[in-house]
This record gives sequence, C-alpha cells and structure tokens, in this order.
Amino acid sequence: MTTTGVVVHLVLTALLLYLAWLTPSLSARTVRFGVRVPDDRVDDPVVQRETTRFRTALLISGVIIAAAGLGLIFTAGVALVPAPVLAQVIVWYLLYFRANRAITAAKQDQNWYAGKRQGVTADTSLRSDPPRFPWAWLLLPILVVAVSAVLGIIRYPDLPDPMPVHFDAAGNANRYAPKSVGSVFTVVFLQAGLTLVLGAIGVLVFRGPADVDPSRPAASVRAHREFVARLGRGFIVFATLLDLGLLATDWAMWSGAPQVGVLLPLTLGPVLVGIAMLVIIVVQRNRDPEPDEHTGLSHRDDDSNWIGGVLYRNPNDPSWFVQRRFGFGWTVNIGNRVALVTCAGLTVVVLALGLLMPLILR
Amino acid sequence: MIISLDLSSDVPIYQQLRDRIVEGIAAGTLPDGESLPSTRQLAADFGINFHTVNKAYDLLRQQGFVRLNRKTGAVVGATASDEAFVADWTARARTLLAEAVAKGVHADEVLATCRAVLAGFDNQQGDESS
Repeated sequence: MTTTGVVVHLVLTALLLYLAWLTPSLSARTVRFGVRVPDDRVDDPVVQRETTRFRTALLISGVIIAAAGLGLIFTAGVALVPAPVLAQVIVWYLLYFRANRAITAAKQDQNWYAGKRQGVTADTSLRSDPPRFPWAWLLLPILVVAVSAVLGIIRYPDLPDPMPVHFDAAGNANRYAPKSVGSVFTVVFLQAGLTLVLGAIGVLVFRGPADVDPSRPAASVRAHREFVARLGRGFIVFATLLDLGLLATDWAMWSGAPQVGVLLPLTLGPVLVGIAMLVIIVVQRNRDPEPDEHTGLSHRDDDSNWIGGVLYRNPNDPSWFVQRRFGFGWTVNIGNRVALVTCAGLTVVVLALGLLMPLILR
Repeated sequence: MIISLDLSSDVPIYQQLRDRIVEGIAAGTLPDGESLPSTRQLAADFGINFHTVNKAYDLLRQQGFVRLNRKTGAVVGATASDEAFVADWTARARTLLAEAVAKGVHADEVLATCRAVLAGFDNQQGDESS
C-alpha cells in the first residue's frame, strides 16, 4: 500500500513539475507569465531572467515538496498524497505571480508599449471555411467501447456471483459486488461517457475564437488551424487510450479471478501516454519559424482584463471562453453575465449530481 | 480574409472595419456571394463590443456593399453604382485630391498613385482566381 502511494506521489509530483516547468511555453507567444508584451519584447532580457528564476525556484521547491511528501506518507499514511500536489500547485502559482509582477513592473517602467500601434485581428475565413472536426477519427474510441461491450456480453454468463469489481495495485481483488448489468458494465458506461465528454471538448475547441496575433496574422492563423486540428485529433486519441486503459480493468473484472497480475501499469500506462501526447501538441503550438510579416501592429495590451493573470473579465468581449494565461486550457469570461451564470449553474448541477448519485444508487 | 483593426488610430473602429471589408470586396478576397461572419462571431474573434461590428455591418448594408440574408446573415453583394453614389464618391475624391494638391504633391505622382492602387486591386483579383 505504502509502495503504491510513494510511486503515485512521485509520478504525480514529476508530472506536475514538468507541466509547471513548461509554463512559459504553454501560453501564446506574446503572453509572458500572464503579461502581454509587444512582439519585439518576447525575448527581452527581463523576460529571460524571470523565466530562469521561475524554473530554478520551481525545481528547488519541487525537490523539497517531493521529499516532504515522502516523509508525510511514511509518517501519516497514503491518505495525504493530495497534500504535496496541492502545495506544488500553490507554489507554481505563487512563482508565476512573482514573475508576472516583475515583468509588469519592467513593462511599465520602460514603457514597452510606447509608440506601438495596438491592434486586433480576425480572419473571416476561420468562420466561412472553419477547420473541420475529424469525425471519422471518433471511430477509434467507439470501436474500443464496442469491443469492450461485446467482450462483456460474451463473458456475462460465465461470471461468478458476486464478482470482483475492484483491484489493488498488485492486481488482487479487494471489493466484490452482486452480478448485474450495472456492475458488469459499469466501466463500459464510464468508457462511453468519457468518449462523449472528450469528443464534446474536441468539438468546442474547433468552435472557439482564434487569438490572431496582429503582428504576424497569416502565420498565426496557419498555426491556429494546425493546432486546432491536432488538438481535436489529440482529444480523440486520448479518449481511445483512456478507453484502452479501462478495458484492462474490464478484462480483470470479467476474468472473474481474485488475482489478475499486473493491472495498474496496464490501466495507467495508456493514460500517461495520452497526457504526454497532449502536452507535446500544446507545446509545439506557435513553433512557426520566423515568418516574414511586418504589419507594424502589436497585439493590444489587454492586461487590464486579467485579474492576477488568472481571471478574465471583459464585458466588451462577447466571447464566453478565452485561452487561459496560467497553465493551459480555456477560462470563462466572468464579465459576460450569461456565460458566467451558465457555467456556475452547470457546476452546481454537476456537484449536486456527484453528491446525490451515491444516495440514489444506494 | 484577414482583417486588422488599429486601436491606436483616430479612425473609429467601425469605420476601419467597414473600410477593410470594402477593400476586401475590391481586391476579390471577399468574392460576391461570400457570407460574412455573424456580428457576434466577428466581435468575439476581435474581442470587441458587438455593437461596433453591428454598426459597421449596418453601414455596409446602407451603402449597398452587403445584403442581409435571413438564413446566412450578411452576404457580400455590391449593388451597381448609381448617380447618387458617383456624385458622393466624386465629392470625397475631390477632398482627397485637394489634400494632395494643397500639400504640393505633383499631379503625375497623384495619378501614378491612383493607378498603382487600382492595379493593386486587379492584381489581387488575378491571384484569387488563379
């Protein structure tokens, strides 16, 4: 039990540390630690200095937190595994915020935007001829779910009652449940649900507004199209890998045996591969070689719309979601009341379902 | 078509948007029958207030550069120039030419610039069709 806890702790810490290390690469080119900088200041000495400081401090804190986490697990038990992860996220944000303050100060002191023409750019062709969602790729995860369902149906008559439904890391069954369609196919339903959710996220990515860089519009539109297409396929492949990982659990359950050998690596392996793939896709964004565009415009200085580099509030922007500045993904425009109310409502519904589900299913 | 709006310019944003779209139509990057994004979509892409985009679209519709289609929204479809348009356009061209003359730009240079600009629209139209 403790060994598993230590492994999970170390893997999670390493993964989080790596993601945090990538922070400067995760944002748009002209956003450095949440600060909008003009095109010619992307590699400013101040930015470079803050990047080095951020990464050095991150590594030191990561080692300390990992060691403290190990001590915690050995003295107080595995239940505390989330504590070091939480600490790591907090430190990540604090270091980010420190770099954000330093770059903002340099930007104001040296007046980086003096004499710059600020602009906004859009490409109408992204609306009239939008990148197409790769619907055909969805066959991959659907195939895995279908195979899982068929395997379950074939195995159903031979399954013992009660049957094993949960295994520890070494592959020993540690929970049993009465045999029923619900218990035999729980994981299949989970697979179908995950496929649906990840597919929906993929579709939303295709619909989202592009943040076109006015200083190099053609290159950034090209990069956006490529990024969206790769991310869409990435989400579908990720769903396929998750489904495959869950298929290992299915198979363990349906063998009906109390001992199934290695299970955790078979389940977690595909998930880790999937996360690595998504990280690579995100980091490779904006890696267009120096494009020969000189529009004379800089992206508008929109820092005032960002609170602490995390929350976006712009009542004049009709977008519901914009790309986040801290970490990766999208964040809701809290200045848009309809978007805010919808998201808050959905969160409440999901939380309520999560709390009520165990009571209903009991 | 890529549209850039200069936020530090004295020209109002809706006017810039209207001008860029007219230039796109002239250059053939926005061909006849092409639908423009909805006001909400375009405003979201720019991150600007959608009333601004609405104002530009309204102007384009009034001036006969786009039609409003119930199904597809704003569609490029410039109406032919009529007498009123030519009169208005001549008045504006007069002001523009007067500025050049008042600043002492030579007549040949003015004409050469006019030809170059017109040829520029033609060239791009050629690029689009090829």
